[in-house]
Amino acid sequence: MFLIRQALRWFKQPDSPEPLAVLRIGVSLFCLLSLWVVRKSLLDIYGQYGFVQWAITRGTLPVVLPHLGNVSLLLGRLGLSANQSVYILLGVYAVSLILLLAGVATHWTATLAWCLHLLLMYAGAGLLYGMDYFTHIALFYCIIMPVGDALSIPVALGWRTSKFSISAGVTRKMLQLQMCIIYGSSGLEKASGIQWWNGEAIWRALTLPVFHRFDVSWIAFVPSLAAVAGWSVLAIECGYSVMMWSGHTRVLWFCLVIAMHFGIGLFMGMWLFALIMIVMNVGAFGYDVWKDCCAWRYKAQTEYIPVAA
Amino acid sequence: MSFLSPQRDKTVRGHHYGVQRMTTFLVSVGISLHFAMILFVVFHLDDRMVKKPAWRPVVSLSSLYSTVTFANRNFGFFAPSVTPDWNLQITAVNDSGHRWRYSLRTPSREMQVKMYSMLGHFAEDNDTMDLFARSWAVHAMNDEPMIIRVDIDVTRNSIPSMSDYRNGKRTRPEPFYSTTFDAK
Repeated sequence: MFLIRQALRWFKQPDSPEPLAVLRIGVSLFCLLSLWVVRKSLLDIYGQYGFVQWAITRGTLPVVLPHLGNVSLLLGRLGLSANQSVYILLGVYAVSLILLLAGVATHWTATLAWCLHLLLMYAGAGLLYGMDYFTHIALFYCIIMPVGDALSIPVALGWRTSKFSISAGVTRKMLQLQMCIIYGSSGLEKASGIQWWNGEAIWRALTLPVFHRFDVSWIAFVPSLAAVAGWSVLAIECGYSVMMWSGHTRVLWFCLVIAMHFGIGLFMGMWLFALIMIVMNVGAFGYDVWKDCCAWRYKAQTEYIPVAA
Repeated sequence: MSFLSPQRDKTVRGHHYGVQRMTTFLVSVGISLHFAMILFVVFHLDDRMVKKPAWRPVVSLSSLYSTVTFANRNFGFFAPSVTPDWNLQITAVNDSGHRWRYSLRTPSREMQVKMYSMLGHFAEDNDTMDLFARSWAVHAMNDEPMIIRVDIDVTRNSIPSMSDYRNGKRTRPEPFYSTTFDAK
């Protein structure tokens, strides 16, 4: 009972809204960037006759859930074609992201962006991968978090005050717990196979034609290096859930995770996936890492102050 | 300063306290359910429960929650092993019998990654393969209306292990799926 009470007290501690604002800015900029990156392929991903057509993506979806095709049918009554409907929804999505970036009515704009992102995900379901899932999760947290309580236009204009709140603390801890579960489960799943222990996973990931960026065939002649890289990934992912909670190890682990995602971007060309993971890590633990660094700096300064004679 | 009578003030404050407690309770239930759903999938309890009829409603609820929030998914990317990748070759034929290579446009690196994901979804089961292949054929025919036939060939890259690579083996494509669609 004592432990539960302590856990609840920890969970309900008020927290600064600034890390949440950083997450809001990062997520909205990321979503706008990801739209820009695929601007030449929008209809190929989300269109009625894209690479995977609506008839298929609608068919695999539970009947109770909406699809871009349903919205297109409604807009069709106004004389709009399916392609025009896609562009209109993408336009509204971009506007909602810009409003979210500015911090205007964040619960509403984040909800709108999340709903439209869901419709876009369903329409382009055949081409989804981890980046899309994590973007959706990040937008979900923007709905429930008080992300507009700092670094926003309403705060700058004095319409809203930037203050510590219980909801900021609770929701950021939820995101932190979710990140720990994601990395912990991913690490354990990887550890259950042999490929991450003997380095074959690293070898295969770097030599698969789709991810082939640099000639790393020499790794086959230094298999121990691939094995060490595999163990490092396992250690970083499995250790995340523990190491990120201690002030002694958090900065190191945070840097290792960021370096791992940077490596995924550089060596596999999955830059958007790497970027959303970095944004989520910064939103979840960046503020604590910053506080740890400030505390170290303060400690280092006070330790070397010469004592007056 | 309160403009209400002391008795009324007490009632209103009590009412607010009750609302606050109820809100706290509902939020706590929501957070608990959210994490219960996540842990349920992460520990693969859904795989076991789906076999027991009594637990099926819970599995359906979890599945629906996953379809909407994507929060409770299996996050083991490239786990436990890295699967091979695939190559898609689409050959178009016009009414005079001329054949040419048709490609799905991937103008950015991100689209190439999405193509890899699409071929991964394609390879999930036989029904999906046929649906996806039909979709690519329709896409090609819509894009270039003179196409009357589309041949689709998917190959899987067989990646040698590090020791096989040292012994001279190299990545080679193996036939995985092949079909033809005719426009009527």
